[in-house]
Amino acid sequence: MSEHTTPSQHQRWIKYGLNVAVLILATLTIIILVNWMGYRHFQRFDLTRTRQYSLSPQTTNLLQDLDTDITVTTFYSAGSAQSGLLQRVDDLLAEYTRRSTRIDVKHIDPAASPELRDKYITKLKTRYQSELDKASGAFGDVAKTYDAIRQFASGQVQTLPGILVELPASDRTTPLLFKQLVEIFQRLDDSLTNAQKQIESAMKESMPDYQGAVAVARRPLTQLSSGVLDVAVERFQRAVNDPNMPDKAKDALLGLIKPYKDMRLQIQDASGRLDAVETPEYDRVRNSLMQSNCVIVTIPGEQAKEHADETHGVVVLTLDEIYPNLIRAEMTRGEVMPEEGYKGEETITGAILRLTLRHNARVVFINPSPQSVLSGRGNPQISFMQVAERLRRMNFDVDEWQPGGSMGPMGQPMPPQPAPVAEEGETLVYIVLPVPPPNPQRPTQPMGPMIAQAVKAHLDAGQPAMVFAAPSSMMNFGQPDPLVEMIKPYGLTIDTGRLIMRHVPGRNGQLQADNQLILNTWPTDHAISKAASGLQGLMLQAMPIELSSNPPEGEHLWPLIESPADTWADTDYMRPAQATKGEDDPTGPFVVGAAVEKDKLRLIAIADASFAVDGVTQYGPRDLFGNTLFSRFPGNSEVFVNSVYWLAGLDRLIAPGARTQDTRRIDAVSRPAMLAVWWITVAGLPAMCLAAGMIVWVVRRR
Amino acid sequence: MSNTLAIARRELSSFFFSPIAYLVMCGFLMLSGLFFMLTVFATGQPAEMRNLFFWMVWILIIVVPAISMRLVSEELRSGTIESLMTSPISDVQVILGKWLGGLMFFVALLATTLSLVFVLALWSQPDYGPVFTGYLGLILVGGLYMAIGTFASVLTRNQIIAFLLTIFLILLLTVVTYFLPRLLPPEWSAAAYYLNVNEQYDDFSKGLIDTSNFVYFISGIALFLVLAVKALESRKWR
Repeated sequence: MSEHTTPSQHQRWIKYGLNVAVLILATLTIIILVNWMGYRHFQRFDLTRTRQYSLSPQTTNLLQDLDTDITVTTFYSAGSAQSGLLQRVDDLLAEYTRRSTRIDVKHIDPAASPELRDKYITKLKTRYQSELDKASGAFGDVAKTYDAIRQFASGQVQTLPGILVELPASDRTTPLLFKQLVEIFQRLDDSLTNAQKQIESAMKESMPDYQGAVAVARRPLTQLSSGVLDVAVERFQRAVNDPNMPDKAKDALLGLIKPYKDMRLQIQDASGRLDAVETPEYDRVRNSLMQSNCVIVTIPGEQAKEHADETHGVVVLTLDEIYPNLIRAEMTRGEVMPEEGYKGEETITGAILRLTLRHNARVVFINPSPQSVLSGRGNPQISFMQVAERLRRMNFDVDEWQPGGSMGPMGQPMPPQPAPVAEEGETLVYIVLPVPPPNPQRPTQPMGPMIAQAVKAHLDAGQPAMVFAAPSSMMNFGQPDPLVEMIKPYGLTIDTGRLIMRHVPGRNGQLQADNQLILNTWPTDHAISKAASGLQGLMLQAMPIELSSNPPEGEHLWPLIESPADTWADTDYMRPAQATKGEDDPTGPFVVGAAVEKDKLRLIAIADASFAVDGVTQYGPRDLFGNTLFSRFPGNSEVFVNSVYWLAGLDRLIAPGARTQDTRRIDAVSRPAMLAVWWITVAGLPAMCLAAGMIVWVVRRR
Repeated sequence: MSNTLAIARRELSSFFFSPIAYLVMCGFLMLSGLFFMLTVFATGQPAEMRNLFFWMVWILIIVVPAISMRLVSEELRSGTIESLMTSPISDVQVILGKWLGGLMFFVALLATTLSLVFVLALWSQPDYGPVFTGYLGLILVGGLYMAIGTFASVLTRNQIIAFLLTIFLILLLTVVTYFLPRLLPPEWSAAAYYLNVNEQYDDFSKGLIDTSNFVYFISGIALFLVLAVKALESRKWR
């Protein structure tokens, strides 16, 4: 019979405590494992109405059409202060990989894996080999020049003391110069050796700083040439001209001048070769990689060779370029506007397009004004820099033709260039800006008919064009706009004598006419405007376009832009605020932009000259540096760019882009309504809860 | 299961019979209303509740412990736990029932803020997807905090201590895990960020449902409920 003993309190503690500890440990292990798995393999569902956190149809189309592999390498360290931003970039790239098997995302943490970083950099460096070979060649030449300098210097150290004895005792300056020269030449070898060591050490880096090495190489050359040789030659010359100088000394000095001048020429030659070392793309890539905060988009090397442009098949995007305002928000833990979310996708999609999009299309703005619409000095009310930049990112060559001549860098008049013509197999898109009406006080050659003739010939050649029109009072004097007349046969009649107006509340509360029209809807008949759905647009000088009800056979007409229904077209557009809606004034909605297609011909007319100017496309809240955070009217830029895609025959690119999102906003709330809502939400509803609680308390007390 | 539901029902009704619960509800609604007016409701603002959800997660740090503090500690203080422990109900059922009852009350509390969505809808056309995910996320955050609160209330018969202990544990998962990654080496900081409740909730407030966020909250709830069960069980052998 066995004897049972009751365990002591201590034994019970150990027994059950251990049991619980093991169970808790097992639970923790399972939970950690489950979370690890969940973190590595997850699914995301975007429940926003516009799929704000999913890729846009434009990107999806692009990814479906990819015929090349794309590698996207993130080059930043995890766990930095910008972890939220990095997570956002990672999430965005994960969306790309989910949509296409052609996209491969690699992550390199330069701090955690320096070997991986160096290996990647070495591989990337080979893309710039042709650029770098030239630079290496220049450094080879410099090494030879350094050797020549050394020989020259050691020769001078031997020669100068011999000449010194020939100099007259009265001359005190030349011996001093000789002494200084000897000292400099003796030290020269050290400074050249130092420079060479610095260059060699720079070249041994995984990604050498070529521009830095050029500066190091140039420094002793410049010092020797301008600081020593120039002075010596000038002083030798002066000494030779000294009447007190003995002939023997003169001969010796004259004998020195030639080798000094030769040396100077040799140095200038080497400096010239260093000047030719240009590695701009490589430098940009290197600087971004050194900062370790970038994403690198690449196509395979062999395809990069086919792609004979300056990208070398590599596009480096810094985090600041991908999410500019998010970086600032991250640092301040501030909120960002929802409209800013599109930038990451637009930038990365833009980079992929830049590497893969092949087309032979060029865009030329026909600008009758001598003031450029594409230069940085442009007036935002007339310049088109924002849309031009978007087109350049899509590999379009964007240029300008000023038939009346242009202004030079110093404001001097430059003669006009001949009209650009499409080359064989090229699609040349003309963007025709309105021609100002002829000024009777300054009779010059009228540009209108000349431009109209050029555009007509362009269209007749089957090339596309987009024509802008501006209101013109000359219409009332029987002088119609030649461009407007030119597009009439295509079924588009622009009434340049009327401006579209609508009533808005004025300062005194009364309604007044206004020509600024905010567009919230776009016609859905054509992909161009359909893709802008949900985006807000703005028109400042809109005029009605009448579409022919009986277009020529085979011709198709589509409205692209329409004014709101509560508008009218007024002839009194010079003083819009004082205009009143007359009984005869036609009422809206009016077509303001339209597209025409007939066989190969494609033409778009927009009856608002300011539709795509920077003042409209870049209008929006600005940061402290004056940069636009996001456009209030992104519809304008979207319709313009889509129009160019269509004109260039790149229909596949027309789809709602990343920035196409319907950000719904709270309508105007009047002061009394706001006050009422304040009372109801902050006091009324809580008071009701309190009252219910009091009732419960009273009832239960009974 | 029926035992669990019976306990949950009993807890829920006891909440509605307690005037303190109405006080909590009143305070929660007042704070939510205030943040709604200050951060969401203004002419031209995006018609979304994201800013309010951001603040609501912080408000829950006080509100949920106020609900959960009495779940078990009240039974411990009044001695009714003994009759519960001797009844044919397992510890798991007790803890699950208590947690579920508290969560149901929390959901009722949250439902009162739907009045703010109604106000928003009067002046705009909000996107209801992010509103739905925001509330779903709040329920998960509330569930996690309630599990922490249940665990804390098992540990002590003093409600105030249970309340403070819950807040302390929640602050570990919100404030400490926010600042800690800055002090840790990179390989550890990502894990510390992962533990942050607000980071995990962020996707829900945007309108995203991410399975990894679900895993985090569900496993967090499971962990603290297991701890609570074991803590309750330990009363038998301590």
